[in-house]
Amino acid sequence: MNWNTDEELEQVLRGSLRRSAAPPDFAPKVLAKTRQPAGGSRMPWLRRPFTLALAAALMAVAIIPAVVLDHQRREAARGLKAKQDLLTALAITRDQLQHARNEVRKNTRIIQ
Amino acid sequence: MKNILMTGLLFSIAPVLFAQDFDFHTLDKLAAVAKSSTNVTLSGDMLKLAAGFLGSDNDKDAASIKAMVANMKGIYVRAYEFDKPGQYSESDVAPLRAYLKQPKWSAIMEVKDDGEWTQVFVLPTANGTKLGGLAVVSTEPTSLTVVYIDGSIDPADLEKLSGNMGIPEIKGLDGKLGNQKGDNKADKKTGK
Amino acid sequence: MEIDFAEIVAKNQSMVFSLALRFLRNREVAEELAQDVFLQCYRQLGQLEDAAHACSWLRRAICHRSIDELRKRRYRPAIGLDDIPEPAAAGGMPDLMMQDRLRSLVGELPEKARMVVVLRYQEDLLPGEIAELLDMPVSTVKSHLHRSLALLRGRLEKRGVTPVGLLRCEGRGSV
Repeated sequence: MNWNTDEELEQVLRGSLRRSAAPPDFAPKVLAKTRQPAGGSRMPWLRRPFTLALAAALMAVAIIPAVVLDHQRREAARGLKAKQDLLTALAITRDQLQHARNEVRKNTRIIQ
Repeated sequence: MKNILMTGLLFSIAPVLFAQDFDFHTLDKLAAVAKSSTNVTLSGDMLKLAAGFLGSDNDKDAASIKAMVANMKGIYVRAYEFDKPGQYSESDVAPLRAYLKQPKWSAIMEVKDDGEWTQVFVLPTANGTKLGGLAVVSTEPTSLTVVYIDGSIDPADLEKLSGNMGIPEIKGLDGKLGNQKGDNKADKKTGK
Repeated sequence: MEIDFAEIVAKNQSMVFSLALRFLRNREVAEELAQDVFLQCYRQLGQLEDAAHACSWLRRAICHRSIDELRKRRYRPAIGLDDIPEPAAAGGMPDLMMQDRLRSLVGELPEKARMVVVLRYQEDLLPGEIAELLDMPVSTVKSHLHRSLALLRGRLEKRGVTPVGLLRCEGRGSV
């Protein structure tokens, strides 16, 4: 037997496609979500100017000492290196002078 | 005729060329072939910074070095050691020697002995009472040392610093420059 | 007039959920999408005039969101109306599965045709209402309906599914 009219098929389709009931907890879930802030996991208070300013201030308090400390450390490292360079340079100069003086004395004694 | 003119031109230009500040560029390239090298360039703020780290003024040694450094404008050292002779040439040092031949510089010591050639120069100030600079050029077959101190310096004060402030005795018992490993590292052998 | 959102949800949850379910053929996704649409409605509550306006808004929203979701998730590939492969002849299927098979066949229709069929036979909307909802010409809606019915009929006949057999199954079984 064939489908002679669309009406028969349509009737069957209406039966097959009739509304399916929503899950029993569907409405409570929806209503519960309406009580949550918009944007899902993001907290709206996070966007408030005061909160942003506070966050910026906290970051500054946390970061600035680290930056200052880092600068001080670097300056200290530069200073220590410069000091070592200076001492090395003075030592080399002293030794060269002493050597030259000793050689001059040695040659003077020979001449004498 | 042309040669005479060229030579004359060169002699007239040379003082102008070398009247400028000490120029180490002909030496800096030697670091690439040297077994070890020491390169110190301290002037202006860096020199003050170094002096600031010398320790407290209660320390006598620190005080004497600080006093010495206070009158300096800069201190420059290039010291190289080579594996074998011939790795540098006199032409590398010639510009410096030519610079130090200017009338303003006075050679106070010169030693030529067994392949070694050491010259010590001072730069008297205008009134002649103090020194405005000190330069040492020392060459040996396998080593080369150049020191230039710009500013007021008394060589005697330097020699007094033996063993102080951790300034190492760089030279060995024979008075020659000992081995220096790496940049700005001095022999840790302490003096008297 | 202030709209009671809880009442809106209660009255329309089956419609919204079922439209998504019939179209997407996936319960979890349909539920998630339906919830999203209601939340969207909640946020725009101030712009809705009354309950009827909310209902039509919801219907329109779920249709478009379902089509978007299908394109995004790429469920079963949509089969063109002109090139449906002839399935192998099968023996008689149990009655309870008939309706599910029919729903499955609907689920194989191209997205626009599928939505037209679902709106027509689940919501009993007229072609003009469907055209307005889906932003398409009425003639296109009618064309979709005609061709979809022809297709479904042909496939059912191939399986030896008779109208009498299917009519007996009405009211039983669900996805």
